[in-house]
Amino acid sequence: MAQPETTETTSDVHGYRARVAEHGRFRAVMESFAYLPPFGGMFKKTSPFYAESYWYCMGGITFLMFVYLTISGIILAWLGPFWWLTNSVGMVLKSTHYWAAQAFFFFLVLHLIRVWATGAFRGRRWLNWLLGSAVLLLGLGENLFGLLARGDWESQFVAMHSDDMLFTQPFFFHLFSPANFTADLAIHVAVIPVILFGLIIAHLTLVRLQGIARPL
Amino acid sequence: MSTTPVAPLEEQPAAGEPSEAAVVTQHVRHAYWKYPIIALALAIVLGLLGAFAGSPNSPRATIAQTTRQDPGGAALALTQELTRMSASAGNQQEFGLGPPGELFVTGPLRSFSPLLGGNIAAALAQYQAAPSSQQATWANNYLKALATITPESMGGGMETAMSPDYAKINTLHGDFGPVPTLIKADVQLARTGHLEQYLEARDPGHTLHLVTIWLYDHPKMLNDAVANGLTDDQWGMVKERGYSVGPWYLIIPAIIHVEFPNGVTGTGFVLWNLLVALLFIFALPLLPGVRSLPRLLRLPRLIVRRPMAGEEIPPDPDAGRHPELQEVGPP
Repeated sequence: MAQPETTETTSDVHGYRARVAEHGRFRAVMESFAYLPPFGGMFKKTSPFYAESYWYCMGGITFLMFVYLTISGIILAWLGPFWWLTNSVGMVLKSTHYWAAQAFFFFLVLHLIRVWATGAFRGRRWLNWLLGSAVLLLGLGENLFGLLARGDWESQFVAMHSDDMLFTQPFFFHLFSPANFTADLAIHVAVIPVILFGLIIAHLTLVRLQGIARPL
Repeated sequence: MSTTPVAPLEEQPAAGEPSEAAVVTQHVRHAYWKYPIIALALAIVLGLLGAFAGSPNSPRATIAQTTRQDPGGAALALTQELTRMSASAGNQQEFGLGPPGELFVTGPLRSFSPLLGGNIAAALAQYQAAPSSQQATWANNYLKALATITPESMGGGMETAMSPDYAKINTLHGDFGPVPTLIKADVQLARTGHLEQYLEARDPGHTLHLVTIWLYDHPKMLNDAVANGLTDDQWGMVKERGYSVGPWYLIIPAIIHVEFPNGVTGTGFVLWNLLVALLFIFALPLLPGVRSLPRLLRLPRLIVRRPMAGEEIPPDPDAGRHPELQEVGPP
């Protein structure tokens, strides 16, 4: 069970001076985000030695990509398709959004490999495997609607050509049409990301509660 | 607080699955300091890729541009709207459309008839006054006539839909009624962009909806996709037009679509993907034997950090709260 971290002893050993004394000013400054609000009370301050491998960073990097996708996506949605398709800054931001999506899936797959290869799906952790799988599958859906909301030829072609493959129920029970750019954009920026955010928070909360699994 | 030097039950190897190699379970201060550096490195890489590699951006097709490039294809598509042989006619219920002939041909012509001149209004009146069987006869006859001025397929590769030669459209003769007049006027509306304006105005709030549906009726969109290797059977699911990086993470659905039995059909595609997802979610972590594969393959040793020769493991800053943390060796 997680112990409260507000004891005087805990505060001392995790204080800035103690950390500087332990491994120098550079590392102490760089890790400050994990000791200050809002993350200070959320992150565990120690981890097993075996987990100090870059493989164990992949989930965190995937989350970083999600954060970047959210921020860049809000700016893109705010300024609109004309801006991202014609303005040079808009085109670069749209491109970084595209590459961050590629990176999101790349690191997510590496995270998945790490979780599977270390058997971190055992016992009660299967629930988190389920949540992670939902993030992957919903992420693929988010990616599809991102493609449909891109506003270019590919969007038009995929909207029509994928219809029979992906929407066996007529246009999602007549709720929307993938050829409808407005609906695609709304789903991409306002519907799926909210669900994804909830799933990711639940996933991280379980990691926090269950700790890092011991490898098989 | 318990001081029993035993790892929590959920962290112990399952019965019959002993750990094969030592792992150091002592806690150390988490290396959070690496994350800002990783984030900065990734931001630089993303910025460079965004600035220099860019991202796929094929200009969207417009009705005006498509019709100027291939007016014969526009005439074919519009005639098929009247004969109910277009893709949108086949999907009329699914798309929630009205009759495509009215939506894409007679509706726009009626709206723009004051601009198009008296003969268009007269042709429209003649067409709409005729019984539906007569309308169908005229349109079908015209569709057959269009086939006579359509070149043979080039053959040798992916099958593409050929368009009638629009330069020869005035050479057609037969029992077409007012259909040729209507089609040529509608092609003119399409060429000037008025058809796109009409369709956007007819479905406000649903940007490009009807426009994209009609563009897919025009043979050019699918022909362009075939020419760029983007149809599903050409592994188009993992490609982008004019761009070397595609959605590689869709490789499993792409394999299912191209290689699996019935994967080419909508139902087959969905069911196969569902099966793969269920195997992934349930069989991989839960099925005895399968769930032990990582241990049998000794994969954890490739993942976990081990102390290097002579490396001292830093003290656990929370040692008082982690009394169970000891070096664990092989059983």
